[in-house]
Amino acid sequence: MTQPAILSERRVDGETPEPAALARVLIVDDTLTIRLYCSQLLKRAGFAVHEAINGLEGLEQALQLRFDLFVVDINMQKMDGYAFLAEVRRNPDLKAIPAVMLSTEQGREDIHRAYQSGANFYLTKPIDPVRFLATVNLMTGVACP
Amino acid sequence: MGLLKARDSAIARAADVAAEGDLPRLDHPDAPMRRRAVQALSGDPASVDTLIAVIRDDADNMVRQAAFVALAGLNTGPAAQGVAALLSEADPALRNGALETLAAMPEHAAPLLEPLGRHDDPDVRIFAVLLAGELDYAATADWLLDLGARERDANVCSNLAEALGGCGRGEAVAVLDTIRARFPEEPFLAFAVDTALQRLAED
Amino acid sequence: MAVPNPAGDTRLRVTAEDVTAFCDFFYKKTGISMDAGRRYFIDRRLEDRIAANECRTFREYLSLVKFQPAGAEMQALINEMTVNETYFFREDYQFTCLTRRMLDEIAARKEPGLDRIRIWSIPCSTGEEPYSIAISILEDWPRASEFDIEIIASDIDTRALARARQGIYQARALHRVPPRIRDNYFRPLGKDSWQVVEDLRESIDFSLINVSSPTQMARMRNIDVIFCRNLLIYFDDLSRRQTAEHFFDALNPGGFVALGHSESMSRISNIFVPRKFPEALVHQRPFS
Repeated sequence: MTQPAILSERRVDGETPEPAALARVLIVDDTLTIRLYCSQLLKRAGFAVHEAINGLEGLEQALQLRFDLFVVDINMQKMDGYAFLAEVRRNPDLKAIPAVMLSTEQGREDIHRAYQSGANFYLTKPIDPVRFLATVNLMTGVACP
Repeated sequence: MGLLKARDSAIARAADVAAEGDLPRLDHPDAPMRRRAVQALSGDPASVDTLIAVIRDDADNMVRQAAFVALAGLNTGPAAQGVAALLSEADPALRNGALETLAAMPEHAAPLLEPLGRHDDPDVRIFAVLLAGELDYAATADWLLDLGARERDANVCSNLAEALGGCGRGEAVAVLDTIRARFPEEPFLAFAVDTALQRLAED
Repeated sequence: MAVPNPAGDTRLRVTAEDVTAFCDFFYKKTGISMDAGRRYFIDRRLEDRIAANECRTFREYLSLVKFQPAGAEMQALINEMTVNETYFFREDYQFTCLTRRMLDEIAARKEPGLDRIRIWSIPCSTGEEPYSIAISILEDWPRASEFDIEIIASDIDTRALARARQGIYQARALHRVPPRIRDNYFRPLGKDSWQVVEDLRESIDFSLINVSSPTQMARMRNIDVIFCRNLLIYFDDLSRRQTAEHFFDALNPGGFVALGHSESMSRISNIFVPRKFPEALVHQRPFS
């Protein structure tokens, strides 16, 4: 398995160095409470966390900073989660970065569409903190529960 | 030097090139021409149904966005109602585009919260709560408190908690407590309620 | 001896209601939403204009602005309310990005000697930005002589445009201009004052434009790069979005928009795609 970006010290221009972290995660969600909650859980577990309020802002950040994992909501203004993942998977620099999709929708079709758009994993809301952390650990390859 | 002063006439000529011989139509094979046909409808209050149909049927973003902006610019009751119907569409780009467009016409969007809050689909109720969060709380706080007192879906409630946290009303504290009590097994809901209570206290 | 009132005696003072009414009116006419938190700024300028027109009430002044056929007072008001504070080569990483990346991409789709490259600076304020763009291209883009390049510079403020056309600047505005560039493109006008050389002044097309006017914006077409820095921050969500839509129509497919450092297209519109170059993130009109 390849090392997380933050460990292998791959740097993109203009990037400010961060204190040592397990891996760098981008949370893309339009609700403040979700961003706060995920961010607190991940920071406590030793991850570096960045936030974006919609898919387009997420894409802008992903183009400027190297991430180890995207945590992506479905419903967002300007660019929804499916469209974000489709853009990420089309981009040669971003396509290998794993993504966890978070959504309220539990219908079979939505899960199917998430995987089709390029999600590697799908979690339903409300977020279960134990499952969430275990998934992030698994997807970033930093720990084996 | 390579710099050349632009002439107004040159710019105007450039603008007209596309217009010669080929007219914009909503069923034109080229998206820029369909976009121009949509833009030609701006300001026409009778265009609501046509614009909504364009949003549903035309998958090209440049055409859709022109239609959303034209609807937002109309800023009428029928435009808001037409847009609100898109909140239950399957395509998230349509639902979220509708939310953004409704937020741009607050006077006409606020009266729609009540029926949207009674929609069977919890996702539509979430959109209603998010919409309320973008409108003036003076007009939406009562509705948020009322929905908070009866809503049973955990995800609608977590969004309600966030909106109530910003509403600046003392009654929100009791409603937030009942939301917490409704989901004793969900740590995220407890977090959402705590965060909202903290924001209310800071106000 | 009587102590003069600090604001200068008997001038009419505007009330909170007047300011609300004014902001509402000003927004409808220009798309610029004035922040209520800037009351001091708005009050003083509004009171200046009321005094200049010798109006007895705010209402009288507002009807003068609304119904004056030539619109001169409306223009004077816009000039007062829009601030101009800039300098040469401000946020110049975007000009580096222009001459190292964007222009090469644009040129690759054009016929040398035949097609033009059009660059639009909006708002151009007192001219520092369009002149900086012009100098950057002449100095740093190796293919500048192969193409006819037009730089269009627009603003809503006629006084700023007049100063831009004049091209006279104090040393403060030139603090980031290297001496060699200064000596090539400016001529000294006495102590601490410089004027852009005539050739350069003549090569830029300065024009008055109100971005919230669809008819005025419809004149702008076939543009390859738009620099629109620190304008949209004054607008509300819908006006921002409408302006982004106008920019989309003004650009050729594949054309770029550069916004100010603190601005993000991701909160305005999804009609462009972000493009990351080593120097800057810009927004591109998709090809299809």
